[in-house]
Order: sequence, then structure tokens, then C-alpha cells
Amino acid sequence: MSWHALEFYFLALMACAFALAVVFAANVVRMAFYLILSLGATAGLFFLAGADFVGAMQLMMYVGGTLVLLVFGVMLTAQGPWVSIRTSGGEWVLAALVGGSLLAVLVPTAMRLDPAPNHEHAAVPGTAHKSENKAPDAKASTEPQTTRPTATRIGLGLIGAPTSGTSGYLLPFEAISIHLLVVLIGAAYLARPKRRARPKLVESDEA
Amino acid sequence: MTTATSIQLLAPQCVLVFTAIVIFVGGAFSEGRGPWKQLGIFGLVMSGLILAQHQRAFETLLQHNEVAATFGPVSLDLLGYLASWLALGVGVLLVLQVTGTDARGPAPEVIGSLLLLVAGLMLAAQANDLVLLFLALELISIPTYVLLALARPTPAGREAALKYFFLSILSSGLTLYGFSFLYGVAGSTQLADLYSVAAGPLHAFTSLPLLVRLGVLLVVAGLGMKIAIVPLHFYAPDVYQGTSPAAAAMLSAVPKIAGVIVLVRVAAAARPDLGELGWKLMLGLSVITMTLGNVLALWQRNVRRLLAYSSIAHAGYLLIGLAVWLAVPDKSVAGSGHPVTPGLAVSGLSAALFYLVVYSVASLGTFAAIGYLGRPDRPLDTVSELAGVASSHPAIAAALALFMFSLAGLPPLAGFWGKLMLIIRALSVDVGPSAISPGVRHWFIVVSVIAVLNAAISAAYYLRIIGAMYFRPQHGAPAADGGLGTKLATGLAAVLVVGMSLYAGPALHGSDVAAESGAVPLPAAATPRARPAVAQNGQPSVAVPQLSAASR
Repeated sequence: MSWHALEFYFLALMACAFALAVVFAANVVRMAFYLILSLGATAGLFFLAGADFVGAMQLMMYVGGTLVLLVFGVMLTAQGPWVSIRTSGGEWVLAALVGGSLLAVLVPTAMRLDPAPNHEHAAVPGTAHKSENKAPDAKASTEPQTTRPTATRIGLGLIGAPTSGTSGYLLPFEAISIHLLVVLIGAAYLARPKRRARPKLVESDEA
Repeated sequence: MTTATSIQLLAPQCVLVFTAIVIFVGGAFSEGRGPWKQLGIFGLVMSGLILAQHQRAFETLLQHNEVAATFGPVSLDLLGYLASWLALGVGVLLVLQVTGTDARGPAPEVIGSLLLLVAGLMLAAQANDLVLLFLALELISIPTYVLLALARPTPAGREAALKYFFLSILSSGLTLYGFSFLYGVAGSTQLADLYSVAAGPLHAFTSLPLLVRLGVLLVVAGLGMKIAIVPLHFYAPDVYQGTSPAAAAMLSAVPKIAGVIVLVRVAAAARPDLGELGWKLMLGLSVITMTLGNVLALWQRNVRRLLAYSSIAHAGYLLIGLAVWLAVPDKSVAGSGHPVTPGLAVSGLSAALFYLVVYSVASLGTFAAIGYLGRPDRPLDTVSELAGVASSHPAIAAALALFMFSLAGLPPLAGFWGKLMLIIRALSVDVGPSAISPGVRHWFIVVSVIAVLNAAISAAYYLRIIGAMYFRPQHGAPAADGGLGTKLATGLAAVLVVGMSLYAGPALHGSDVAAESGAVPLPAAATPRARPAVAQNGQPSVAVPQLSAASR
């Protein structure tokens, strides 16, 4: 068993075990902490698969952003009955039904994948050229597929670099920046103290 | 094509966004209310000048038969230009008539949001890509939330803003979910790719058409909220009633235009897969929308609530045109021996576009007149407050009567030509090809009868407003404190309605041409570029791996 496989099993075990811990924990803060560990392990899996960009995004957005926010939110507002959660029987059944159906979709899909991605069409986009000159061996599935960083290619594809041949998403990106501008201005305008209310009162007194 | 060309093509939108930013920044640093309205109008006019220059260049290209059609995510066609001009016109009418919550005029943020909203509408008109289409829709929605929240600082106004906010988010989610199915089938966010996949020879034998239909259904549900189609209309009366006349005017025009244009773009791309579902859906929605809208409008006493139901009813009429368009086989679909008269294939779409323009102008004018008759902090509410306006404000009363007659569809006004074209083209569904089964024709005859009955119903409440103005004695004159802007907007809209009534022929020809160019998504192949996802010879890209997987 190679180091790569060992790392994979370690991270996968960690992700699964802490995911279960999230389900069985009763305290919201602990749940959040277990979720951080589980998602961190998932990010490790992404790194292991050569998807460094997705792994970094997972760390930055879920672990770094969303969950820290969640923990802070709970800690700042934790007075009510929401700190510890008792799950009722009906919710268990419902959650098991939903989770089980997702599992029933995911497991057969995962089993149906080619064990060794040597075929062109089964390869992950971007790794196709790499898998050609690789000797087909049994360890291919657990070996890292590519050593090239994916972030550069994703970035170039996003802005539509002349080499990539697509129009890219620079324009939508700019459009989003305008969205954010409107949201910021609207929120600031709505949330500011109403200091203009005074002249209006005077006016209505005169009238 | 590179993004630089797209940006160049988007110069009209860029001007609007730039003006909006200037207004935002300037408003933050100036204490009083500056000349923001004038600056907004200036930005719109500048944008219009650039657009005119672009269109002239485009039409020269068109005459030389070298239509460089798509530039990345932006497409150039006459439908886009028509919608852009409409957006600019709507923008001018809105910026003119918007008022603040007190006598000092609108806040700079309001004007800036309006400009961004117009920019979003122009972007939606020219977008050729699902991502850009969605972002353009959001560029309309987000400033709308801000506008509604700023429009009236009363509990009713806040309720209206929140109600619209939550429902609009729901509709955006539905639209995006539908887009994701379309993307899944096409393997690309370009609408032209979806079209070439859907028109591929092997496509019909897969289960993919079902996915496309599901996607279009979700998109219709999402856009239906913006257009105010009946099962999704219920927010409209409350929101219109709770907000200011200018904000209601914006709601009655901008989301509807955007919804119809995006619906046309998506339906044109997904058309080969829609089959009978397309026109049946449109026709069914149209019947319940116009009937319910008109019948419920009869009971309303609040002017804005009445106009909300009226705008729902007009959305119903519009859908007839789209149904006709989707029922008559496309030229490319009927390429196998069923000749379709070129004009007939898009006649329904053209009628719908014409109706959209006519309705928008009349509706904006109506709200401007209502805004003029009220006060900024207390708009005119009930129909009975209009009593005797004809004697105290004859010009405004005449303009309002003109808008009411046009909306009711009385000859010879523009609204009449719009309704007439819709009904004529619904009745002429059978004239052309033999590919249309006789059952289809009966449906359209039934719907035409229902539409005429609805026009008669709608006349009752429009005439009630006119009756209140002209034949009821005045008790307590309306404030008529809306300011010069609302007056100008009313006048401008009245001139436009009269102009479209007199020159209905040329206007209709314009919408014919626009419909012709928008009925089929432009081929992305105009710009040579490597697209490995889609095979060049029209083979469906998604079916290929499936077949090879099966043969292995």
C-alpha cells in the first residue's frame, strides 16, 4: 500500500467519522467543530486527487468562511434553547430517508466509474493528456493524476484568455461586481440612521 | 471573439453604469439634492446615441450580408436592439416620473438604481449566454429591491418591498434551476449551442428532450413571477398598492419586458424540443391570466391595485402571441417538406413584441399621471379621488383618458392595433402549413373569442376611471403635487401612444423584423473558435459518449 493510498484512507475515514459525529452530537458548537474537521478532511481528499483549486475553495469558503461564521453566530447568540438539539424520532426517519436516497444514488454512480481512467472520455477534463503516456497499472486509480496546478487553467478559462478559445466569463464577473455595488449601496442607505427625518417633521408641523 | 469586442458592444450599458456610479458617489458627498434627475436623463440620452451609432453600423453589416452575429456572450440582432430602445425609453419615462418621499425629489440612490436597472434590461436584451442572461435578470431584480425599499417609508411600503424581495428570490432560484437543466443538456451556456444540440438528428431518440422541457417549464415558472402570469401573480396587487406610483410603474414595465425577452430567447433555443408543450402551456396560462386579471380588476377601488390586475391581464394577452409563435412550425423544423410562409412563422412573436411596447408606454404614462395627481408623501389612492379631475386638470385628465382607451383597446389607438394583431394572428394559425393539425386551430379560435370577451370586460373598469374623471362632481381637489417630471413623463408617454397609433404600420413592421431576427438563436459559428463540446456537423454532443458507452 502506497503512501498515497494510506493518506486517502486516513482522510476518508476522518471525513466519514466526523460526519457521523456531526449527526450524533447534540451541542451546536461541537457539531460545527466536527463539521470543520469533516470538511477539512474532504478538502484534503480534493488535494489528494490533484484538484488543488477545489480543495482550496473548500477550505476558504466552507471551513474558513461559513463555519467560522456559524460558530461565531452561535457563540454570540447562544442563550436560547438552540444550543443543544434533541432530534425527534420523526426527524430521524425523514433525515434517514433523504440521506439514504442520496447515498443510493451516489454509491452505484461511484461504482460504475472506470477503475483506471486510461480511456480518453472517462478521464477528468485536463488530465487526459497526462493519462496517455502513463503505463496502465493497478495503482493508477490511487496515484495522483496530474501535477500541474489547476488554478492557473481555471483562472485563464474564467477570464477567457486568448489561448483558451472561449469567450470566458469576464463579462459576467464584471456584472456581478455591479450587483454587489447595488447591494452595498442599498444596504447602506437603508441601514443608516434616519437623520433626515427632522426637516420632514418641521415641514409637517408647518402644514 | 475576444472579450474586448464584447465590451465595445456593451458601450451603451457601460455609459449607464458609469453614470449610475457618478450619481452614487456624487450623492454620497453632496448634502442637498443635486441635479441627479438631469444627470440620469443625460446618461440615458448618451447611451441612446451610442446605441443608434451601433445600430447603424450593424445595419450596414446586415446589408452586406455579413452578419457577425455573436460576440462571445453578447449577441447582435434586431430583437436585441428593439428591446434596448424600449429599455431606454422606459428608463427616460421612469427617471422623469420618479419622486422622493417628500417634496425634495428623489434620492440620488433611486436614480442610480433606475439607471442600473435599465442597463440590466439592455444586457438581458443582448445576452446570448445563460450565465449572462441570469446575471442581467439579477441586475434588474436587485436595484428593484432597493427602489421598492426606498419608495415609501410606510409599513405598507416595507411590506411590499419584503414581499417582492422574497418572491423574486424564489423566482430567480427557479429560473436558475431551469437554466441548469438546459446547460446540462447543451454542455455549454451558449444559447446557440443548446439550439444546435436540440436540433441534432439523434437528439429526439434520447431522453434529453424531457430534460429540456423540464428546464423550460422551470424557467417559465421563474419568469412567470416577473411577468405576473396568473398562478404567480399574487404578489402584484399588494406590492403595487403598497409602493409609490413610480415604483409601481417600474414594476409594471421593466420585469415584464425582461421576462418576455428572456422567455423568447430561451424558447427560441429550446424550441425543437418543446413540441406541443410550448404553445399549450402559453395558451393555457394566457387564458387564465387574462380572465382572472380582468375579472378581479372589476372589484378594485384602489387605483394602483386596479392597475396591477390590469397589468396581469395584459400579460395574458401577450402570451397569446407567444403561443401563436410556438404553434406555427419553425422554418428549420419544417425543413422536411412543410413550407412555412416566412412571415407567418414569427407573426405571433411580432404581435407580442408590438403589444409589449404599446402596453409598457401606456402603463408608464398612466402611473406618471397618477403620480402627478398625488403628493410625493401621499399618493392618490382610490378611484373616487379622481372625481372631477377633468375640470381641475384637463390636460392630465385627457392624457389619462388616452392611456385608458389605449389599454382598453379602443380604435384607433395603439392598444387596439396591438390587440387586433394578436387576434388576427391567432386566427391565421391554420393559413400556412399543412403541418398544423386542425385541432390546433380550434384552440386558437376559442382563445381569440375569450380574448375579445376579456377586452370587453376590461373596458368596464377602464371606463370607470374615465367616468370618475369626467362625469363625477369634484369633492376636494387632488393635490396634484407630483412635480414637473411626472407631468413631462405623462406628456411624453401620451405623444408616444399617439405616435404609435398613427404610425402603427411602420411600428408593426419594425417588430416583424425584430421578431424575424430573434426567432432563432444566432449561430455561435460566426466567430470561429474551438468548441470541443459540440461537434461541428450538428451532431448532438451529449449523445456521443452515451452511444460509445453503450457499444463498449
